[in-house]
Amino acid sequence: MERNLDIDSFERLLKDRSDEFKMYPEKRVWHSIYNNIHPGRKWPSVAMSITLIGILLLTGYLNTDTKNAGKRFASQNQHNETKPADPTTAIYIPLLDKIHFNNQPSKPYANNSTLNFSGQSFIDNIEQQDMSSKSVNNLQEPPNLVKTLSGVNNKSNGDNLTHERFISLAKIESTEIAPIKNDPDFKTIPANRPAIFHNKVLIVSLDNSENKIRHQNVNNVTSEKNIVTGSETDLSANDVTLKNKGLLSAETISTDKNETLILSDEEKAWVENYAMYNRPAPKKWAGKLGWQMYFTPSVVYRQLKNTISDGADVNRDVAQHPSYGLEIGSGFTYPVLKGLRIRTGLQLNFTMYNSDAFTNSHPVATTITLVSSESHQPYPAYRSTAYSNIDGISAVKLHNETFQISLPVGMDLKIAGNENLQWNIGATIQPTYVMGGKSYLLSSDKRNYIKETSLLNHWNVNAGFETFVSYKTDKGITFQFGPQFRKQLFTTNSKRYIIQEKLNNYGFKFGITKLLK
Amino acid sequence: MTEETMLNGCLENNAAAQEALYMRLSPKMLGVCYRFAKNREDAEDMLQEGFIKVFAQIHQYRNEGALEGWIRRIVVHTCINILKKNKKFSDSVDINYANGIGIREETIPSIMQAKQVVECIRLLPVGYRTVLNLYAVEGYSHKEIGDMLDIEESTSRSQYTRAKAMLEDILIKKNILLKPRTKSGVALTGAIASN
Repeated sequence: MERNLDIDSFERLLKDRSDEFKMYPEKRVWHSIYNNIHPGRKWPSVAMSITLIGILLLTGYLNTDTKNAGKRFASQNQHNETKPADPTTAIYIPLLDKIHFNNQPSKPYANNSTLNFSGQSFIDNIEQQDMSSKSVNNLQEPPNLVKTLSGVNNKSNGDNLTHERFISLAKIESTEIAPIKNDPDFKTIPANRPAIFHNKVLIVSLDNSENKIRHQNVNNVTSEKNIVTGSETDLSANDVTLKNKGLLSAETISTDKNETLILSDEEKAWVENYAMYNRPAPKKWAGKLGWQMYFTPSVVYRQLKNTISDGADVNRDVAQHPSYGLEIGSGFTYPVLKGLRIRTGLQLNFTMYNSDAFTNSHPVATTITLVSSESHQPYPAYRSTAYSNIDGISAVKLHNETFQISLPVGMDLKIAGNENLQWNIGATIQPTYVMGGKSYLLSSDKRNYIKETSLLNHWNVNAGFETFVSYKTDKGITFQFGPQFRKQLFTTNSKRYIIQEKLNNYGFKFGITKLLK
Repeated sequence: MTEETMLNGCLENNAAAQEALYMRLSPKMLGVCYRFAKNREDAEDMLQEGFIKVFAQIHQYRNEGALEGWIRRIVVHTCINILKKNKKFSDSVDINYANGIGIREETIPSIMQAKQVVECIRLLPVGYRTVLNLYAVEGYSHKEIGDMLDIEESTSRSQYTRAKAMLEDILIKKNILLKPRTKSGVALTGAIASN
């Protein structure tokens, strides 16, 4: 670089003063640089955000996990007095999907909790129909069965083949249930296993032609090639051959003759208890959770305040007029108490406010007064503008606009009314992100307006207050309308700009809410 | 952390070393960017892009001259590139009209002199301001400036002469410089000259 050697004292002083000048960048600048040069290691705040979101999702998932909930419930009731199952409701019937079998004489199922079979083809069939280990983990065994099954080898050992036994579930309503074609949980059910229902042993068979599951009553097993079962239509009938399509073959099953499957009272109680408390959890939100959509046309006012003035009202130095705003939102409502609903959602807001000004033929130099973030002292920031607050070639209306996205969180309280017609009041707090807009700042001498969007506060908070009348139809749809006041809690522009602007929206809200089932 | 340690760390893409280097030099470099930029936000964008280039090209530093000077050149070039990209040179201010408006001193409290000088530089039209920054402050020759800004060397000289005259007028009008000009230029006011 060729340095200028004949620099005069003015230039030298200019350079010296300029070199002395320092500014301290915002932290976000380093974060951006860091994220750019280390793309694989985003700034910890990102990781922290993801972690927090993950924890929230996990918490939500665990709180709505009906299987675990049922498991916990069943566990809590292991030592309690058992309750009989309600035969009129859908229940879960436990099936024996993996059976401990060998070529040794078996003992009654109820006594040692095993069923004993022999025959290689049967074994092969069983192996092909193993269920996933996930099912095993989600099950709660009766105490004595767990003892029997623990530690059992799952592989062939000479003539013996031992499978760990566990219980799976099939939802059965009366004698027929809905098609299982699209339900991955039920597709895995290997049919034709002994099951226990209302103190009886049943076999559930899969009828591929009809794509339905039916259950059969099994009274006992009498011979190698014939299983004495109940028919599909008459549970008391005998000598019905199973429909085995790739499942168990009756010819391959051999058991000890005349061996009756008997359950102990404890096992019966556990089965019924299990069935009772593992019914599908009702949707807590069904009929309560409402999906709401609304829009609110409004009139936007603003209040200006000079933070370092001597008490003069800056609003008198400007010619300004309210303009219109619009709010569109969608969200959910949920009753937490009688007459009290919480709600949240997402909404978009547009605000506008007008200032009367004049345009000039060319831009002029002016300043806006900012407050230093380091010394907290005001200083002039130089700008150029063609908009005058005093006079000019032609009059112009300056539109101060913002486009916002908010996350309102709040509640509605019923004041009066009946089931269908109500008068409510509501309030929300609305963390807001300002996506963009236009801002015309008043110059330090109040003679000019400067278009300046770089000082726009991107984060803000609004508060909403409303009262409304709602009418609920018989179909669960609620219409509401009423006045709304929305107040901006922090200044539109950066705190560094000495003139604060806060917007007040006076609107009329129209909403519709549909209950979700 | 010494400069050598920081440099070695940066060569190994060590985040702590990079942050240390950034923390040490970013205030001064943001001051450089601010003289070229329209506002603080633009200056921070320039600084960000400049330091990204610094860390990406740190292996090209040959220990010939101060590290700070090498980084400063990258930052200055980044500022120029951004200004050219955004076509900022077409934006100008009628400085005569600006002088007519003036600045009401009672609304502008006294602040650091360095900042006053910088703010006066920033009052210049962007073309003048850029040439003045590059020549008088950064020490580039008119030929280099011509190459950087895609203008003739003579254009750089004439722009600089006008920029300097305008800046002097502004400084005098703001009582930062005293009239009349001395043989060697103009005298600064006592407040600044004593510093």
